[in-house]
Amino acid sequence: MSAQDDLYNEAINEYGPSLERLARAYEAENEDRRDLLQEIHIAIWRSFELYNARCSVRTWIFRVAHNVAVSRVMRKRRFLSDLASLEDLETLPDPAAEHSADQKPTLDQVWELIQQLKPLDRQVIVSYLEEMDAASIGDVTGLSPQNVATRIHRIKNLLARRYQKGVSDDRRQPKQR
Amino acid sequence: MTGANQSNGENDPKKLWQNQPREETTMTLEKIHLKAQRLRARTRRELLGNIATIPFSIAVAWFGFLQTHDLEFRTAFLLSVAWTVLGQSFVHRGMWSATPPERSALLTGFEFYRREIARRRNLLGRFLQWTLGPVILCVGTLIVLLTGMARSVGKPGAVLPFTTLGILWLVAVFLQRSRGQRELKQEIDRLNQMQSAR
Repeated sequence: MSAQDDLYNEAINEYGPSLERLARAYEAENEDRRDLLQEIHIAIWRSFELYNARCSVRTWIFRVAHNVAVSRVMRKRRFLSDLASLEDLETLPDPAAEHSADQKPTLDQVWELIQQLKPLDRQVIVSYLEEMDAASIGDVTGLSPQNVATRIHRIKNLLARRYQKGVSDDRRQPKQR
Repeated sequence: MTGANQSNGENDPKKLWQNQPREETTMTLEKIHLKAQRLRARTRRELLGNIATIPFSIAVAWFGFLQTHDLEFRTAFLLSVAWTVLGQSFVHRGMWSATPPERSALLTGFEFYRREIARRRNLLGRFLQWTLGPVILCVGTLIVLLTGMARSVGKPGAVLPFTTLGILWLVAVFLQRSRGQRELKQEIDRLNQMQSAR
């Protein structure tokens, strides 16, 4: 096995599940998601031919994965106007207002929120959900730590506004399970 | 998939995200090697598919060419074919300039996205100039030629349906591409604003 193959195997062993989740952030349909994940795997394997250790393996593979996914999103979408920025979503009416009192946030809702976002904001929110710190998100996205911090603040507000209602209701009521 | 929120930390979006059910991944190195080769072949096929305007222009020009001995019309048809062939080389040059996946890790998400938008905007501009342009010239010349022929036999309205259809198609394509270009410009402006705040 070549060094490229070794690097690929190590990276996938460690970050394979994160890459699966990342693919879900870009493609809702199962078939499309599998296609995207394959594209990502191929691109990561090919990219390791050029890996120069100037950044961590995690930063490297997340950059490749996001960039492959963004390229695919742009290839498939004729217009970008059906995607929103975090700023746009903040000004939209709160869909949580329509939820019933015992509604808890679901994975579907988180996906739905992510898939409304424009590529760069999607990168930030996925990295945030993957527990990356602001500096690492900055390394992947190229945004300054301040810009990342502002965006994370917006993401937290958005998630809280949309799902806090369910969370707070859930805390008041004992679980019926 | 909604059952995923039944795990621990069910109300925390981060926990929900990280605890989502996994799928069996069957990617092996052998498969990757094979798929990398297939991907290269598919890219070549897609590029070949994009030159469909060449046979279309040649067919329309050839048809028109046979209908007339007028030097001006024949020149216009030949010009449209030459423009189409030349245009495809320019359009393809733009397509090849895309950052290959193996190099995309050298760019941050921001830089990659901005380049991708700029490239797509450039491609749209090239499409209007190098693909739509010769098609308009070719079909337009044919319409003028056929209208003249229809008039000479006393049926000037005979070409009207074809002309109307052609114009509607051209306007729709032009509007759609223009909208795409406008949106990409807005996105570039938004990214520039973000960059100044970086």
